[in-house]
Amino acid sequence: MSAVLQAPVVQTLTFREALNDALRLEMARDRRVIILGEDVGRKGGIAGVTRGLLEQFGPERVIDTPISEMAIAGACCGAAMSGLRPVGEFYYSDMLMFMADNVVTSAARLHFATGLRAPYVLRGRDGSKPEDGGPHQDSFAAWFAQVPGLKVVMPATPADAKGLLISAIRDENPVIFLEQIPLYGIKGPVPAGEYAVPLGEAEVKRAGTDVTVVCVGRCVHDALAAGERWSKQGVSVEVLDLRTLRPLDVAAIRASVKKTGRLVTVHEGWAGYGISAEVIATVSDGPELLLRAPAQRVGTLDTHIPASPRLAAACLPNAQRIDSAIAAGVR
Amino acid sequence: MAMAADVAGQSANRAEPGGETLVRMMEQLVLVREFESKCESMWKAHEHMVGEYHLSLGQEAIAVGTCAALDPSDLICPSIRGMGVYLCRGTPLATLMTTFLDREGGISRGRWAHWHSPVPERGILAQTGMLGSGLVTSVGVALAQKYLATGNVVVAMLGDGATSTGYFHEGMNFAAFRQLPIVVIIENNQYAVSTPISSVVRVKELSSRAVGYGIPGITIDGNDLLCVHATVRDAVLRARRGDGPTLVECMTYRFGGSTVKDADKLRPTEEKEAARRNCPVKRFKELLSQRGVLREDDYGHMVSAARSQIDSAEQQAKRRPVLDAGSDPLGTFAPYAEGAPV
Repeated sequence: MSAVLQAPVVQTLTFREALNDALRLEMARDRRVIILGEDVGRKGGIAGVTRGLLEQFGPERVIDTPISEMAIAGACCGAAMSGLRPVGEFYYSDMLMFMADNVVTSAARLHFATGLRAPYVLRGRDGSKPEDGGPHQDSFAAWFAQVPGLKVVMPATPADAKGLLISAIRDENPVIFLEQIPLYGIKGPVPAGEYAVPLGEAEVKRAGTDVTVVCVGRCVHDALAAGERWSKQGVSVEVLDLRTLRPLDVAAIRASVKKTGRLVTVHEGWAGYGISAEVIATVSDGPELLLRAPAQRVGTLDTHIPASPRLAAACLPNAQRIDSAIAAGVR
Repeated sequence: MAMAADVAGQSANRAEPGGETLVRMMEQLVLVREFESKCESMWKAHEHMVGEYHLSLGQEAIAVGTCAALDPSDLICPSIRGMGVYLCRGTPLATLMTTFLDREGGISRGRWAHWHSPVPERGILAQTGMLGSGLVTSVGVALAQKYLATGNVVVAMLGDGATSTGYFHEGMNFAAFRQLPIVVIIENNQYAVSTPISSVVRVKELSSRAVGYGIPGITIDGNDLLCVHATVRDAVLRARRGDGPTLVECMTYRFGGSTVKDADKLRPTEEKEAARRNCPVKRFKELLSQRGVLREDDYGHMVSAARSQIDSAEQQAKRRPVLDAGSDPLGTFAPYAEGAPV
């Protein structure tokens, strides 16, 4: 018998391929996992995440739906209540607005009210795509993160994309899984085979001592770049990637800010009534005072994202705004 | 009335239900009538009762005929006017009364609008106050039945008002293109609260919308219990053998306002009086009398038996403690407890 080839422990995959790997593994492992969405089958998904799954698992498990977000969300909820583990895809976060009623009014309340369960994932593209311009650039993560009974996930790296999606599919609750558009093409090391990252655990992506940057999604990469810039000026930046917005890793946020005493939040979506507001409240609510300087927040400006790529770039979190916030924080 | 050929065709050569079934259906009609009348009178007597009480008085034949056409393992999502479904599926009266009286031991323990609560052990699915939402959830339940090859059929019921929602369109089309085992029943009582359905749609029969989804649709007299039963039974058979959804519109009229709180001043008196003459309970009772299946004192016994069951349920419920915030809260998140992959 010839030598058995060992699967490599770590592969290099794009964010998109890592998500595909997670779906493929979960579908192979568990027949209850099905996929529903617009163009998820023959096209392989609008972002290419479901490529090859129709061919491998067939049309009973990978369902090309009509443009019917309310029915996709409802079908996921009903099928999940009946023992399946559906993964619904939406084109953009805007479409979550069509889905919101069923998600909030039916699914998120279900377990609390009845003890029943609706374990499903709605996943899709979220946030900015400045090179395209036009609409579909919003991130509504905070709206859903506010709802008890939901989990909200936003990975920043290929490894986290895979590990968090596997955990989301195995979770017993409805999960909103947001894939930020600029991330699909980035490459990174991804553990092969089954690999789960627990929901609700933030990760320090860069250790530092002077200021904590709490961030999520594509802004993690902006924060890491800022960390490099500021290290040249002798400022040590800690980058804490939330990874999951609900449940929020309060302990990790507080531990980091306790160390640095300074806080900058960076994320897409409006800062007011949003992720920033919750993170800062998390820091200020605790039994001891942690901040030595006022917290700074960098979100999407408090207006609507313009279609012009140049105007949009100014409206979204960017290097200049992050640097200003860090400067104000460490002043 | 317009009929889709294959549904009507099957109805023509159906077997009539036997005497025992007819009597059971009569008992259920009486139970729904008496139970809801009791709820109405309790509410009007200012008992502490929670909920909006969308009563189905005048429409009872639809729930009774539909439930009689289902197997026990089939699943049903009632409309917001759906108490008849809860009763016909055997939800204990004391559990319902306990829920209405806001006490320990009711359905969903005070956490879900009780007139819409799912009751899994009775195959009753979740409805919300967002009209039409129950249809898309039911579509998902039907998708799972087909995928898991359970052989179960799903029935989704909604009022005429809910057919104007986006949910209705998306849910119907989804059910149709996937050829799901689902029967959608419109309880057309002709009014969405105060608005006549005829004033807000251009079609004469809501079942004609089925054409747009490529499925059979049929409009029937919803106060004719046997007709409801036969039509739904045929549609259920069709769904069970894999031929997909059917849209059944049942024409009816509610005796009272949209809820117990509704003053109901806008519907014409003549209409309301005509509806009372067309009472589904009275019609079925007369039919069974003509057929010699039911005698007047049988009927009297049914009414008194229902009333005594209801009174006893009320007494049981009132012995239970009122819900209070200190009682056990259900966790918001389901704990991680993965079932075995199948």
